[in-house]
Amino acid sequence: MSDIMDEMDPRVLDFIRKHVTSFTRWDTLRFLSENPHTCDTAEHLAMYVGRAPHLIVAEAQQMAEQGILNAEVTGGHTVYSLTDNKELRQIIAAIVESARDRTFRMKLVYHILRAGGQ
Amino acid sequence: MSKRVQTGVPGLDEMLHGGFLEGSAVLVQGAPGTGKTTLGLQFLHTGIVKEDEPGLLITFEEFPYSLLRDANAHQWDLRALEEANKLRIIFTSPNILLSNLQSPTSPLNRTIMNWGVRRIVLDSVSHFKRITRDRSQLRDIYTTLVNGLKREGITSILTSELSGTKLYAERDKLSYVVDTILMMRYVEVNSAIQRALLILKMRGSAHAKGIHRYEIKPGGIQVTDRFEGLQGLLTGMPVRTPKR
Repeated sequence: MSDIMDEMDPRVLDFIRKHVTSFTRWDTLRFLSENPHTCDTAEHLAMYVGRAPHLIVAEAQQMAEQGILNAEVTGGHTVYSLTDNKELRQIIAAIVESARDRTFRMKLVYHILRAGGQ
Repeated sequence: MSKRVQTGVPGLDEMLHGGFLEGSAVLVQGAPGTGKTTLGLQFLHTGIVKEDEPGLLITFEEFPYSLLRDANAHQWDLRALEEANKLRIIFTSPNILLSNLQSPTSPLNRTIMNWGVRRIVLDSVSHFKRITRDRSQLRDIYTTLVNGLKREGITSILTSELSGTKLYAERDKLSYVVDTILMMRYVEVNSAIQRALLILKMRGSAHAKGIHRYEIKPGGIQVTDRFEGLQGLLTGMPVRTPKR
């Protein structure tokens, strides 16, 4: 299994290890990459990806602290959107595109499980 | 004389005597599947491709990637227009949009100002009813929304879900706030479903009063001929007009 993991682009692998540490994060990042001008609360993002709100609330806040998401307070609500950083957006889009392939998806799942995320 | 903003829908611009009035707010009412979103996309695509007018589509329910896919069926490459910073499809919720419109420094207002956005489609304003059940508060919200869009001279389409045979969404009074109302609906004629479009209201302009057929084909909506010899079209089940 570790041999398969070594075949990944080092930038992609590094991003996955650092940031795609739970299925909740993966769902959120995939949704925001496929719908790149989404800006909404964590509770609504949870609705869009079909996950429990409390999970997305915690992950969105952490991802914002890590610079993966933007967080902006508007009208008393914290609104999240995908980072404006083009390089990060490209990496996330590349992961989303690659994940259409079953083998890549297995690698992704392996890393998420290894990170112990939900 | 006010400038006209062409919709790009063959037949509709003629009904509108040249197009919507620039800076006006247009309510497009119809049941699911009647083509409200398609009309909005066609309006934005025409603005960008033919008039070089950047546009925004703000959607509250349908995911942007699914709109991009649907637009491909009409040969509208919206992804390319997004990459060229001519179009942005924003997915958000009504209360966030409202807060964004009210704040001068919000990302939405920055995009409107920086891009010189001329056309906006909101799909659909029916979702604003999620904010409050209070009718007067809802009317205030609609007024703020429409005025927020008009402030920059933007021509806007607001889609709204409507079923049954009623002509106006009386309950929330949105009909009073907008300048123009288009209705798109299904009608049964000779045991087949057809689509009908009419202009209920157009403040500050003359317009066609007839009820016209329209079709949704690859390439978008096309308004064709006027229904003749039928009455009760808006009930959905018209009957032949008796001969005198």
